[in-house]
Amino acid sequence: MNPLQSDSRLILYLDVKSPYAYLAKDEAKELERMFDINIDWRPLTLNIPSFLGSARVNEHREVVEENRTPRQWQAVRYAYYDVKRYARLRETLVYGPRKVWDTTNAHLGWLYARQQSRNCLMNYLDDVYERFWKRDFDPEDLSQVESALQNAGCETGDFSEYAATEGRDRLEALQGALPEAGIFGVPTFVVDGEVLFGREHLPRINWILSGRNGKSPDVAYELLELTA
Amino acid sequence: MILLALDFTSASSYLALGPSVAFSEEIEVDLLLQPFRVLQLPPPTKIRNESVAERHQRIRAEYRSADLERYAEVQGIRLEIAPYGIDPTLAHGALLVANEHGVGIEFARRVFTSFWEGRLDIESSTEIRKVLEGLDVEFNPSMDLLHAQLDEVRSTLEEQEIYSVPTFLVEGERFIGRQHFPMIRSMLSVERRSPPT
Repeated sequence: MNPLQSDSRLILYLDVKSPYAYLAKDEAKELERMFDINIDWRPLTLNIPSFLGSARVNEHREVVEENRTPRQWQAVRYAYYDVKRYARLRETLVYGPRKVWDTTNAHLGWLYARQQSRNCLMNYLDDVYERFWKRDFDPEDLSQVESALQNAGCETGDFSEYAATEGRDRLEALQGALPEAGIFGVPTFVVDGEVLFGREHLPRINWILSGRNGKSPDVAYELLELTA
Repeated sequence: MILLALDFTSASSYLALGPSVAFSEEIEVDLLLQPFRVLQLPPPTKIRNESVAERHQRIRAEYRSADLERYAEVQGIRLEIAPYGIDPTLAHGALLVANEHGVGIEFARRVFTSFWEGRLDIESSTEIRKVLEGLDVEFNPSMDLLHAQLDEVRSTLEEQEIYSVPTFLVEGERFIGRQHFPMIRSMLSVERRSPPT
């Protein structure tokens, strides 16, 4: 899978454990509706400790383990403060995770669903995102991933084998190719070969998909009226 | 009022200025510029045996640079200098003086444009003085006083948990980056619509 190429005009990289990606998911679905396109939804498994350190909190929200600089803590705290105020506008629940999760297994389910059908994939993504951010889904637990696939209406006959072999190889190959394609975070959009990191670029993406008429708009977190 | 914390050596602060002025005029809310120094580090270069963290930081920095160029082009502004190792203290102090005279925004506009086009040495008191004189403001700084004033501004901003630029402070709420204008607009218009209590 070439990180910058697809049959779709727009590629979107997300990670289940990123709240910014969660917000971008529904806005991107709105783009699909507006422009009558199918986005190529792809997983990017963030290595958060490599750029934001790591921490674990207990059920009382007390930090019980950490490896973060004060600057990293500021960035993480602001990120959740920011995400939650936008999530509130959509009546979307975002509970702060209690640890930095490894979403590799959830992303194996993603690739498995992706090769079946668009409906299967979208149902899977909607389900795991919503439940993960309500702390009702463990993305590291393959049995929960398989259940989520079933809930999404996907066939799961050979999922375990796929996750251990072909799926893992495909996911690792994709993750390995992303950095040198200039893709390092989520949400990242690739439209007509242009890489855009963050949902603040949605006005520009809209402008590109509309035919680049007039001047490109500036960045903005547009307050979209999302359709159900 | 909208408070905008910025740093003259930050390209993203420069990119925020024009849209912020336009936005404040559009919604008829005053804009106050406050200096907040954030160390500008040169982007990392590719090294042998790069760790995952180092690679991530390099690629993020490369992207960020390209992104700044993308929107600078949209705004028709030029980013022609590498701002690393440049001390903005003098220009930041001068911004406080400009604010006192009601010309902070015009001062910032002139400094940003000249500095990023490589025509202004912001470490030179002579050159900063000239910019202020062009706005009919005298500038004979005592560096001790200037540092004290900047320290006070910084402490006040840090109490509001500001740590990055450009950051907007609106009704006690922080917004990092100019992408938040739609929410700020919505927030302020809701407040305006609310009946007095």
